[in-house]
Amino acid sequence: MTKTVYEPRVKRNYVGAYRPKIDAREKTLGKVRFFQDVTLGGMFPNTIYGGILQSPYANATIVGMDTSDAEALPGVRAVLRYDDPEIRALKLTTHAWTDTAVTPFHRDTIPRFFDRVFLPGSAKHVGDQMGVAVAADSPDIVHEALKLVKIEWDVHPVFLEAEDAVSAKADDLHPGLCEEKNKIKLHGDFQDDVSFETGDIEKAKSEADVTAHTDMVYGGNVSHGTLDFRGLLIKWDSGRIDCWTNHYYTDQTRMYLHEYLDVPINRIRVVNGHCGAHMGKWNMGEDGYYIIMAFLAKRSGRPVYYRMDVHEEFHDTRNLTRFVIDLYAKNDGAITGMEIEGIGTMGGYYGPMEYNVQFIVEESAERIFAPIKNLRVRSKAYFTNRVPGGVMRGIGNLQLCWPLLQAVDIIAEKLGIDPIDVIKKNFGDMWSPYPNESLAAVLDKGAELIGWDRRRKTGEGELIDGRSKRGFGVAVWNQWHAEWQENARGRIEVAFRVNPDLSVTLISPTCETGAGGNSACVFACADNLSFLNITPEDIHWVPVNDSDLGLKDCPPTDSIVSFLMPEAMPECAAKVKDEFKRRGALMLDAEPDELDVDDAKVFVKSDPSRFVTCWSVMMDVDCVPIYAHVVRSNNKTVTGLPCGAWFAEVEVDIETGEIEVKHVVLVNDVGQVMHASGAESQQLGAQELGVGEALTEDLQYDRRTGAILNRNYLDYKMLTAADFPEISPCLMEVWKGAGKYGAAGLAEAALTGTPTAIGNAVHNAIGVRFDSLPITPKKVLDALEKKERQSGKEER
Amino acid sequence: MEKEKICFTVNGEDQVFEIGRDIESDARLSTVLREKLGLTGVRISCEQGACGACTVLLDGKSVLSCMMFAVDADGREVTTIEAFGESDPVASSFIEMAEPGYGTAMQCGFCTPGFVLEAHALLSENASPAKDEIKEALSGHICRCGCYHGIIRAVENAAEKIREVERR
Ligand code: FES
Ligand code: FES
Repeated sequence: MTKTVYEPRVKRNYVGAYRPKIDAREKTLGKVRFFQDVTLGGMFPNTIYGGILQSPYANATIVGMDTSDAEALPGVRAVLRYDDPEIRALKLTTHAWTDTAVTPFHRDTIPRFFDRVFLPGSAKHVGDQMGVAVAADSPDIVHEALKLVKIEWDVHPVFLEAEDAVSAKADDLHPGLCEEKNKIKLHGDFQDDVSFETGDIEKAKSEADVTAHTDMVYGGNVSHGTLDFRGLLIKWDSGRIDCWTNHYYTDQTRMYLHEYLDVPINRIRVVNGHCGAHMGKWNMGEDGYYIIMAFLAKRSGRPVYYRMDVHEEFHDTRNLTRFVIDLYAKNDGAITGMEIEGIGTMGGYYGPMEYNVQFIVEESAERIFAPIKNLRVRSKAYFTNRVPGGVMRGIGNLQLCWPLLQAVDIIAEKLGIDPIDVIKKNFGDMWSPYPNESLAAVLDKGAELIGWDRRRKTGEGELIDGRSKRGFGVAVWNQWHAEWQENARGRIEVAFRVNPDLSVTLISPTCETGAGGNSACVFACADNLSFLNITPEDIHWVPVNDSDLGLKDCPPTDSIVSFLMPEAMPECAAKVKDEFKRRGALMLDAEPDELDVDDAKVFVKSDPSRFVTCWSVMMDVDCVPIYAHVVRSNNKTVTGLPCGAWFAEVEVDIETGEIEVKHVVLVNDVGQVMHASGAESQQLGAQELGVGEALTEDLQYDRRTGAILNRNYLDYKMLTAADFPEISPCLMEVWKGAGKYGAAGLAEAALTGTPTAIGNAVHNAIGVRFDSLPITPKKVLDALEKKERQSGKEER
Repeated sequence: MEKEKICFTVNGEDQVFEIGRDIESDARLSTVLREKLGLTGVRISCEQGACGACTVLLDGKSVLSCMMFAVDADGREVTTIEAFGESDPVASSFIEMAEPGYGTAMQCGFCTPGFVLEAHALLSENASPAKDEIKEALSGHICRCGCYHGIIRAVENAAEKIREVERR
């Protein structure tokens, strides 16, 4: 492993430092409270438990239901059926409701599609939450009651592939919502599925010296796999709703309850605390259970506790996306044109598939392959009976990086040019000068750290112990989320409360999911209040978001909290300083303008010997804390985006087919490192998914029934300490955003290029490309055998 | 005949439970520790023995409390994360981890108590584990945040701290 201590552009006391997380102590000693602890300690007497039927069928409709035995079971408090008039009166909902949408109606940050029915009477995938919900005195009684419900089903054939979705045999899963059966209408007016076209692709094609073609799928077979299962505890009585949850966004959850339950917002309180790493699962569409549990609470007159079980947690996945890509290039490595066809295979519900097959391509054309001028993009997406896909860490970008950067690798190989040079020539964003400085910096640094000069031509790599072939691969992508891109998120609220003893209570409301925005906020607060000699230890970050308290929370997607909230802090600190001057002026018999604050003293600028300590300003008068509050709009100055580069070194055992990832190097230009240890932790930790999805994680379907066979932690293989490869994280500050800090997101980007770099490295080692993940030993052996057969044929 | 009462120590204190009254005979140890004793550092996740979040020490050895009946702890010593403070060499190594190149030893912290206890079990048997032995010992635990590099380094540092104390 190569350790790289980054060079900060601006040396600050706390922001950007290598330091422990602010809550490392509480987390290590088990003192952090998670949602699962909410019922302990008797805070909610008479709590009962809720559960929802999970469909055993992938495509079926309930034609008859008898709930009388369930209702008669002792301990059952409420039963809610799919044909309940109150439930049926609810309008449709969408997968993204409780995620980062700003309001129910405007400025969605992600496309929505209203295809979800609350407690539907028909199932569109195995595990669909539908039919009937129960509240009872214990989880066991809930389970028992659901088993006692007699259901008559009309079961239909299952289809799992996009090709089958439009066949005559396939049911129309969402009648009236699609333009053709099961094919959704994407936003825009397309001819022949062409969603986006620039330049002259036909010319680029006819003048090309060399071409590359990839046809690859990514997604549909991986799980968020997080340990803290989703849930809520909800009370609804006397016209008030109280909801405790591990949802990462209290304000939007409150909006959701308001929208569907018609209760005024000030009578809805949503509280969250810490949430175990979510990996995007709060944007998966099952949030209908908030509404179902609310009704059970209302009907039973009891608080209802619901927490997903392990199977429910496994009924989500990354959007299954197939991209067919054709690159056209000149002999000097300049890529002159690209055709991309994105084909989305949705599950029974939408997930933001439009983002995957359409918007991400258009966005990426601006953000990462802007120098490629002639483009034609086709996009389409189909419903099937798979489990729904949706937002998972790295959404869309991973799926597009995989076929695109392998196509670039093919061009480089055909031309005998180093892939790094081809990338530098053809990548970068549309706003920054060309060639892109950030791109070159991360590539050069990564090449140095991995030892790129050891890379040989494909198949010519070193043979180790007579059986393993070594290979190297590279991928690049843009970092996610600069400040200017976050306008749709809305304003950001932050408050400092300076207490009489000069300790500080920091209200920067967000759910701590491990992304570490809270640490960055505390460090930025300390730096900005340095005139009070404040250290991080003097600051208490409020770890609970309570929508009754009034500040809107900022959901921790990517690592945006780490910089969006700190960007509001200089103004907040200035307000604190002004208040010290105002109070100090009364004690010093001076005007506030004549004063300044430093070293925890308020002093007269022209005569610093006249001062009062900040402590006495607070203590000698009335002990009223100083409260400063800022609502800040993001800086909209467009600054382009920084880049990340991923390098992999692998050894492929040609006898067993096993791939050993020897080393992953990732270099991320983040503009400003907000917390070095936390940022490195994101770089390293993201490889749990990056390497895991490349090599081991794979949900397996029973193709006849549509059931996932390994929907649990035993049979779904995630990496452990024993499997984790050597990883060298490297942070850079080359690009800069518009704000004081000018940082960019890291947490989502940190895995974008890993599977692709591994795919390219495997190809470099053994001369075989794989069109899907994970690359298992069996796939490797099969591919080697096929290759051998083919070369045998050629020789003959 | 089934026992009516069971008794085991938890973090040094005797706990007595009457079967059928205080706890059911098939109650999991994890449920009893959390719900009867309020020890929320014992985390519940897969409840299938696959993730390690619910790890506790039983007579100093690590066990998955979700896979064990509470009655089987009768007469034994149970230790949970709540027994440790920040001066504990293992805990402090996890807390302090911020060495360049290793990130941190936790992100969300959901899995962390399980790793700390597993590390204790390892170090009580092997004061100088090699890196591969540490990896092997921790391989029953999932950290979905992927903090393995920080965790392994923290265990190495903890081993060094313990040896240092013993040398003195
Ligand atoms: S909860 Fe016990 S091993 Fe996962
Ligand atoms: S720190 Fe989040 S699961 Fe390990």
